[in-house]
Amino acid sequence: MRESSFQEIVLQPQYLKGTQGDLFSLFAAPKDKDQTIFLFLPSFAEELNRCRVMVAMQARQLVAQGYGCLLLDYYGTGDSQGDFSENHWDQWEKDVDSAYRWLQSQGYHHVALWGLRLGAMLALSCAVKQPERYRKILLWQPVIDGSAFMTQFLRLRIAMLMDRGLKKETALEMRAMLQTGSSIEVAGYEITAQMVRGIDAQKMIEYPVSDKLPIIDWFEVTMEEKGDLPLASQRLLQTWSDKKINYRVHTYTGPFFWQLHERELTPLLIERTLASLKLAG
Amino acid sequence: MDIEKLLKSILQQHLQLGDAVTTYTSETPLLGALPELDSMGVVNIVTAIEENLGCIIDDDEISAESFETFGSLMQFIESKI
Repeated sequence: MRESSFQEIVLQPQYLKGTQGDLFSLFAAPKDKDQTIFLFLPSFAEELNRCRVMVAMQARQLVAQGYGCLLLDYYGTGDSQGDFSENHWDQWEKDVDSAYRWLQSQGYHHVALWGLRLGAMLALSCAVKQPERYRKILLWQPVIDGSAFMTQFLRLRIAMLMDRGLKKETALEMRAMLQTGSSIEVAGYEITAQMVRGIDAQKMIEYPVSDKLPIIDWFEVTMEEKGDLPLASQRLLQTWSDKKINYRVHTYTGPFFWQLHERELTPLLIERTLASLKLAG
Repeated sequence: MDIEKLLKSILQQHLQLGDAVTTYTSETPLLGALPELDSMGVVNIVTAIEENLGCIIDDDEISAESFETFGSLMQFIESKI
């Protein structure tokens, strides 16, 4: 398909009811009601903004193939109602539920979850709680250890202090500061103890996966074509193999688009995601 | 391990520097000289070093001195092997 023709596909901005307020989303209906609709779960803080172009691109490609898409902004993030300081893991799970219920109310019953980074972790967390609810699970560059992810995120503040020549802090000191009930600012985002606690508690290896889950497609960037996954991911996937979990790994090469300032696309990831949908299962 | 090659590929992949990195020498200034190297850039590079070397970098070790030049960052990586 020519680039111009799928660029014209409209992702309709809209609000749906969440438990705390209205949730912003971009919606495109599938060709027919029996077709799968992909509910996209973004990553955390700045990563949400940096991946928007790439996600919209993938969504349009999916719509061009007849699928539907619902791209969600969690409560307190993006263009949804609420303040950033109000968002936390349990709320995100509720937001996913709200989005799912909205889709049901519109007559769409074949819902797949598609998540990026922390959103991928959230997708799996929701799916293990309702394994029969979803058709498919697409994990883009999943975070597998919430506390390691949070430490990396808190480092943004260390780097900012360093950049401005201010007094050093460590992630440990920041966690201690949060314990006292005060919030801290990291990269312009107000971070609360509840937020950190919720993410810290997530360990994908401990998720009670079962063979009731739909097929999981796992996409991960490697330094070279057909390169190995990071050791931690390999270890996790080995435990899934032992439990006979139905999953497939797809690697690709390209820029880390969820980290980058400039609009940067990773066409191989889009291509491999579309190819995975053509596989059985 | 070819540290220079590793660092160049990390900078290229995480900061969108393209082929410019091929001309980098020990004296090439980084922090304050590269607009791409903001807080997020620093953190992504630190994480990439950890992942590639399988090491852990303490928060106290993240310092402006290490990120001053290409050479100082190479030295930092050497100290982590």
